[in-house]
Amino acid sequence: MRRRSAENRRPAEERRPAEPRRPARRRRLLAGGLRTRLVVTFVLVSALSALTTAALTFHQARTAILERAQDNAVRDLRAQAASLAPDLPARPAEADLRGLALQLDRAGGARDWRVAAAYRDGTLVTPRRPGPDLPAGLAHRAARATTALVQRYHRDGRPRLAVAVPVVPADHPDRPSGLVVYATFSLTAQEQDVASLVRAARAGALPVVLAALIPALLAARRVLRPVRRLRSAAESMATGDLDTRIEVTGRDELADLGGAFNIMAATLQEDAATLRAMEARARRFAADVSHELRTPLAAMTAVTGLLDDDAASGHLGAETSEAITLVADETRKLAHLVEDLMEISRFDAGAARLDPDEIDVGELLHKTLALRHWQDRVAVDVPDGLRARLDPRRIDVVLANLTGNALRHGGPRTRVRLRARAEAGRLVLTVHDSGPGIPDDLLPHVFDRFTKGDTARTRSEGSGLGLAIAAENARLHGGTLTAANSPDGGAVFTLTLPRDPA
Amino acid sequence: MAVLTGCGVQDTGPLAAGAPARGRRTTDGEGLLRVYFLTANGSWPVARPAPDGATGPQPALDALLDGPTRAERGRGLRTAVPTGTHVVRARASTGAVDLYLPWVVAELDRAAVDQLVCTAAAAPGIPGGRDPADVTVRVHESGIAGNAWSVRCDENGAAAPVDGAAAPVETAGGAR
Repeated sequence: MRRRSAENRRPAEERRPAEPRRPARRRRLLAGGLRTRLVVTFVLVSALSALTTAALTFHQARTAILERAQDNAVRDLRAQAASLAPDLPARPAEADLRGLALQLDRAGGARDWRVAAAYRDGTLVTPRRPGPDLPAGLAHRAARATTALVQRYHRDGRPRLAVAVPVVPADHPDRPSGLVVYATFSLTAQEQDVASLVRAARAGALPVVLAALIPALLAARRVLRPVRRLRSAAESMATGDLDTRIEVTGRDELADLGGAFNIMAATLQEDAATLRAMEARARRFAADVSHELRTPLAAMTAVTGLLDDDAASGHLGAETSEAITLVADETRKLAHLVEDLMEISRFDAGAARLDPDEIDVGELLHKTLALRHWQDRVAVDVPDGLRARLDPRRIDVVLANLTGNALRHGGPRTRVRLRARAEAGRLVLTVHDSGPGIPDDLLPHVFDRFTKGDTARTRSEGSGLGLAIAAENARLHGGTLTAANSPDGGAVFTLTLPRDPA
Repeated sequence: MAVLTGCGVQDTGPLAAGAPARGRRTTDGEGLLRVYFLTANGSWPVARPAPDGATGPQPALDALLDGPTRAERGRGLRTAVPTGTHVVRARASTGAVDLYLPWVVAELDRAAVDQLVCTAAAAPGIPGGRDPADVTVRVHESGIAGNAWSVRCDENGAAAPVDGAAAPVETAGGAR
């Protein structure tokens, strides 16, 4: 705001963002959203890595636990079988197999395995009941196998391991001999070890994930701090503070963004200053020109006035008097245009001053019409005793411009109605004509400077600034001036003013 | 976590798990002595080639008293029978063996008795062709007159009294 120079001061409403509340709400949402996303991502990543590590460790450990149990069992059974097999006959009888199985059974030690021995596809010989509960298909495969076999299975919901070790001839290790020893034992102890691993993994991973929240929050804060700075800088720029700059620290992408923002702000500020300077120069030029024109015009007006009187007296020739009348008319118009230009320049320069006074609105209207001899052509509708605090000179100018405009553009037989009402603390003045109305494409530009109502028409009498001046006067009062077409036909100009301008 | 808790001990198919056990006998010689020595898990009949022409329990008992060979010791076999210059004599009859011990049973280790009885019962060439488990071994102790102690070699390779025959005296404790 402080950079705004005096020559283009505007009412405050024009500069402020349309809805000043909205950015605040969005800011909170955005900050929360980004932080939440950052924290969630961070925690997810750490949870994922903790889980992956735990899962891999768990998997390795479980494999190691099971493989050790299995390898030990295979090794023990193989060693026993290898040390006893040489004493068995080539075609062992059931008694031989039972003796072998008994030896194996006693060799199980703490494992408490259940063993059996079988020759070819014969029945399993077991030293005691119950025998081993081999999983289906294992015995069939083992009878033809030349390697030891293991199989994990569940019986009654408990994990067990079955080991089958075929005994091969020492001199033909690749030929199955048909003699196989079996052992099955419970893996419950191993399962408990695995379960305790899972407990350990869970006990380790959960606190890690929770602990990850703290660095996540810190990191989010760190990342979001420059974003917040950037946002508040952008907001302060949006309110017109073009010399806002950001303090850039570090060398990351956000610092680059801050740098880019600063460059943008500097460019904007420069452009705005240039534009304002150009605009100010142009306005000052118009003001200077009109000022310079006024003195010679005053002399010209005085002279043409005298000549006009002479022409009217009939002493001069018809051609000469017509020429003089034309020059006098154009000189008057030029003087009028210069007056309007100077008035507009005063508005542009911010030099227009409001001089309010408590007045009777009806009286003001009648005076305005009487001054211009329009009483007979304009119908006035004002309640008695309607009073308002206004600058009477300026409102007179507005009403004269609007009424004159209506009379000019409405056509020769137009009826103009002037109406004043007090509505909800405001004074509403309408000027309604019965003419053809305003073309739709012209409607938005009615109050622009030098907008001509009808290009086909011969040069209008107005300066082209009348409605612009009227609008500036309304704004100076803190009111509005709008143009519309009435549904009944004709144009309606509505001037709304506060009854007591501040 | 749910993934982890789901991972207990899972079932598998039959998986190869290393080398088989080697050492299977491929030829079944007729003259095969079964000499009972001891493993860590009880008595175990070791296969020995029979001397040419010898039948009856005497060669097996002689082998037993000689103890396990170096290779058999390497496989973890040992004996509880006292070694030395003692001679155990055996005489086979139909379905029975008379065993003359140079010791008193009570002096012997329980495992030594198992070895002696089972080696005698499992010897080839005992008339009657019974299973070793059905052969009655009559144990005659040194210096003790009277009825012999009748035992059999049960399926676990241990000496078990024939029904009704009480053990002569308490033996000197279990080998196992």
